[in-house]
Amino acid sequence: MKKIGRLYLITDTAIQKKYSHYQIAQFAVKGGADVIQLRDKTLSTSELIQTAIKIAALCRKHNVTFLVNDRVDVALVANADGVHLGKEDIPIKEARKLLGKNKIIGGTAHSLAEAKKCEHEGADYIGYGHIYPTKTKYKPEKPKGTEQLKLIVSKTGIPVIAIGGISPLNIKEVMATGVHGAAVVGSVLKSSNPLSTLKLLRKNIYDRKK
Amino acid sequence: MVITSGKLRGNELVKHITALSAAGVKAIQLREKKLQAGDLLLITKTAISKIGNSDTKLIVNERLDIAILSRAAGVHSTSNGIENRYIRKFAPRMLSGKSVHSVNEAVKAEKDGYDYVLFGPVYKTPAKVKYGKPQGLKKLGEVCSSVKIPVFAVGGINPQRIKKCINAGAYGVAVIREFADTKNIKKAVKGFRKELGSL
Repeated sequence: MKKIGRLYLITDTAIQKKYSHYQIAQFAVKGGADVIQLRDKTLSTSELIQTAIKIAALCRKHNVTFLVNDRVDVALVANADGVHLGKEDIPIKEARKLLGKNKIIGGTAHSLAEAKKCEHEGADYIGYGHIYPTKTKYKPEKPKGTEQLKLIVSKTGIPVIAIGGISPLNIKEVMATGVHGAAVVGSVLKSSNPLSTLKLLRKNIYDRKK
Repeated sequence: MVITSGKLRGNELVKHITALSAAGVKAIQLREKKLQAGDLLLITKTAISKIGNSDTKLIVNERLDIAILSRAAGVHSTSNGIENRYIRKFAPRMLSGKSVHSVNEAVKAEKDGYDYVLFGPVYKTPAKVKYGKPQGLKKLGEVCSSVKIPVFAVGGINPQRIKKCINAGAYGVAVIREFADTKNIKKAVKGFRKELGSL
């Protein structure tokens, strides 16, 4: 089943060296992440496949959605739930040919036009950002902010996941836009206690209406 | 077999592949580590549509997804690359190759079911300095006699060295530098064809 949850964590071993992809996945399932995306641009294919197979097993056990960044072949081999594709990666339509309709394909958008394009090409969700200033990726453009996000959410027919500079401090403001969910990287991976940060993020997402 | 240098972009790369194919090169391995997947897929698809019914086999380095989507003839696995059982699972009829640097690795590659291996560097080459000293013809001979699948000698190959590699038991040679210069393909082809008979 295609399940795209609200709390989305990207494993990143470039912005920090303390935790491996698998260690991140371990505290992610413990801390209540709904989606884990394996993102690594430097590992060899064989190492990436081994890591993906391990994380896929962990995610299956905990009913967490597991996506692979960029590498459709690795997602296939590891039987992940799907892929997340950037604008320079394999086009969504092409990836769909390999993955079939039951796997999740996420697209990346930095504008309404790009969001519409992803939707049109058959993406299951869109990652949109960056919402706030972030150090995880080099971003020459200005942050989009929550007003822009609200606009994207209202004009798109598939779930939008907000990304970029999201932390426990601002996640309520993000969710108030009506966005489906939020992706986090640095605020969790560089926090002194990633597990408690994740739990707090989860609480702030799901307890809003109480 | 010609391995692309990673230095050409977009349409230039497509033109280069087309020219190599037109010159009679039988196999071209696309080794373009710096290209983003979207560009690599587009270039591979365009090149394959251009070389159409020729005898040239296009082999994609490492990315099985791109090899399948572009309908390439093969996929090549680097040292820590994709395992053959996964290639077979998702592309049973695709050619699969493996880079090896020792007799043990070559034997394992054959056992794993790869269709061919690239062994090197046989001679000194700037492209493969990271693999250390050249392995030489004696080692090439040992590798060739320990496996039944075709062995391509790679690393510093020029026309003068082809006969030595073939005499050592190599099925063929894989070349990067000698074919990297787009203006010199004809000359390179002539030199190699003279030694190999066909390309």
